[in-house]
Amino acid sequence: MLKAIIGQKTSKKNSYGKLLTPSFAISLVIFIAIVVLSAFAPVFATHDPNKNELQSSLAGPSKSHWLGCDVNGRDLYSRVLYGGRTALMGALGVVGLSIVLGIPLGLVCGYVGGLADTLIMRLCDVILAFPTLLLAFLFVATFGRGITISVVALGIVYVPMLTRLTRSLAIVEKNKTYVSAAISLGYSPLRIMYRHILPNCISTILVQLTLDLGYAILDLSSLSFLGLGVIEPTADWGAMLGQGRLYLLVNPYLSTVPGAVIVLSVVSLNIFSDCLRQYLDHTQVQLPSFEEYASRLEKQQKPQESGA
Amino acid sequence: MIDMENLLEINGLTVELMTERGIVYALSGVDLNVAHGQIHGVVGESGCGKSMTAKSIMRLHNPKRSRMGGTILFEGEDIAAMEIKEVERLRGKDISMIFQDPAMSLNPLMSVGNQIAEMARVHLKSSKAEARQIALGMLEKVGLSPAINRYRQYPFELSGGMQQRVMIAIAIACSPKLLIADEPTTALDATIQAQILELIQSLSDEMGMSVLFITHNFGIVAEICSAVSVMYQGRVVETGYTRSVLDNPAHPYTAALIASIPTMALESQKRLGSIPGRPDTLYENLSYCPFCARCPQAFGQCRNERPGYQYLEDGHRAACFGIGG
Repeated sequence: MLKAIIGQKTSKKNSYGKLLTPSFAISLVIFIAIVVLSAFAPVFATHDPNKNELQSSLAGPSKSHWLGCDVNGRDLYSRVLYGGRTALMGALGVVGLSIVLGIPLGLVCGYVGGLADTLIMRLCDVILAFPTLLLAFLFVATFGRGITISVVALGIVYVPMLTRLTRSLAIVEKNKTYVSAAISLGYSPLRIMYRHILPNCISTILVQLTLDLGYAILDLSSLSFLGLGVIEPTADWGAMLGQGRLYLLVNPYLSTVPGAVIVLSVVSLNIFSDCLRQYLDHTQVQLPSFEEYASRLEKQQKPQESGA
Repeated sequence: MIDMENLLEINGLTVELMTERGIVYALSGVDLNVAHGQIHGVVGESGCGKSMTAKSIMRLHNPKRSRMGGTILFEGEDIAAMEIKEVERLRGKDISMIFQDPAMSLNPLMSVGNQIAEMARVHLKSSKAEARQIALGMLEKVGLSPAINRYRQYPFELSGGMQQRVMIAIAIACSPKLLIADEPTTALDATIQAQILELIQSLSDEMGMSVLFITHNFGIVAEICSAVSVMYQGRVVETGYTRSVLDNPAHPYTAALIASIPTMALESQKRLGSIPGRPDTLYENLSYCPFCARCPQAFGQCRNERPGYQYLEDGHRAACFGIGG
């Protein structure tokens, strides 16, 4: 399927569009590094992230503690790695939940329409009327603190955006001839929605999802920063930032390092999604100039000739 | 018509559509019969109701915005009166349709093989492997070979003619009894047109499949259709065997249409015939002959009464007061 999405503007051999632009590559490398370091945190960590060594409380960077220790004497470097797990797993949970709820709802609204559409869209309007974090506060206040509850709360808050997007895309696709053709071939509405309409919307949805992933990291960290997310002693970037801020003058690394990691992951995801959009969007192909293209083709052909 | 064994019998079909400017009487009494194994042409100018008739057979109108009357008997069962669930069972399996623009009618993100296989999966409940075999067979059948390579290709990798072949393969994958071809060659150039026509004809012969062939081209009708119905303003004005209609057009509209076919003959240096005026809008349900304003032979009765069918020899009939009068 990817071949068809991309292939409509680029053929395999003489590809116009370059996927690996510098910004795309850099953002990808940063994000993959963060994912790998967090996923294999036990391998890369030097200490148990939750072990208190009170004698080294607020210690600065040293050979044994690369980034120093927090107020409870826990190794900052190891906690940043483990905190990445919390952030990434949490963000995946948020986006996963919004996919599971948002895409089916959006397809039903867009394709079936009618009363279901009206009801679901009005419900979305209600949710969208509240600021994201405020609504998440409401959930936390009602159901209590904890990473699971924050993830579910943010997941639900993220649903309306995805529902709206999917709905608008589905409406566009619904009016194309191939959908009427599918109806006249006797396919069920469910099949048409999932096998025909959804794949044709997926490139835009994919971009939105990578963007959402970045925002989810940010929002989860915000909740934890305010003390509404994770419960101690779980390592989390937002919580670490919140706690470290109290000792900014004693050990600035405690707040700046988690903050920097949050920024890096969100920015790299944003750039990544922007590059993805440019690559998948048919109307925004960045074509090389004719001379550039011709010389590139020449270069491609030369090695083949010498080989033959 | 003549054959009592009709696969499809449309009697007095009316379709009214709701629009912002009022009710459009899109079809006002269509009578049309398609015999088993017959290729039946439907001819007429734009907006005369050809595609509307096809859509009605498939029940593709929005039931909330339209009203249907009359009967559409398919193998003796009235499609017009069916529950939509029952119609869905007919669609694709017993009645299939191919459209004017193949590039728009194929799912752009599914390999063509999978699109054919999907028909078998849905309607014949075949396994993945069986469906694949059926799809490969169909690709060969419509002349796309080597089928193995074509199977994996996407619509954008094929030419218009090949795309239409794929559409046909999808439509006939479940051996439908009736194929509705809605101007299947209009978007194709002349040489490809001929190939597609030949393909449809040979498939019809081979599978005993009836075809309702919608076109505005009398040349195509003469080539592949054994019977033809001429439509004007939402009505069938003349119907009969192709030879008899082409040689002895009874309705003035048919005669005028035939006169406006360009010929290659060098001696005919005269101007191409055309029909003066243009069709009325369909915002009222006319109680007179819709063609009378453009008809050279129109007389008093034509402007006051709606003509019924006058029967000629061999099932040939036309709705005109001028016949035999």
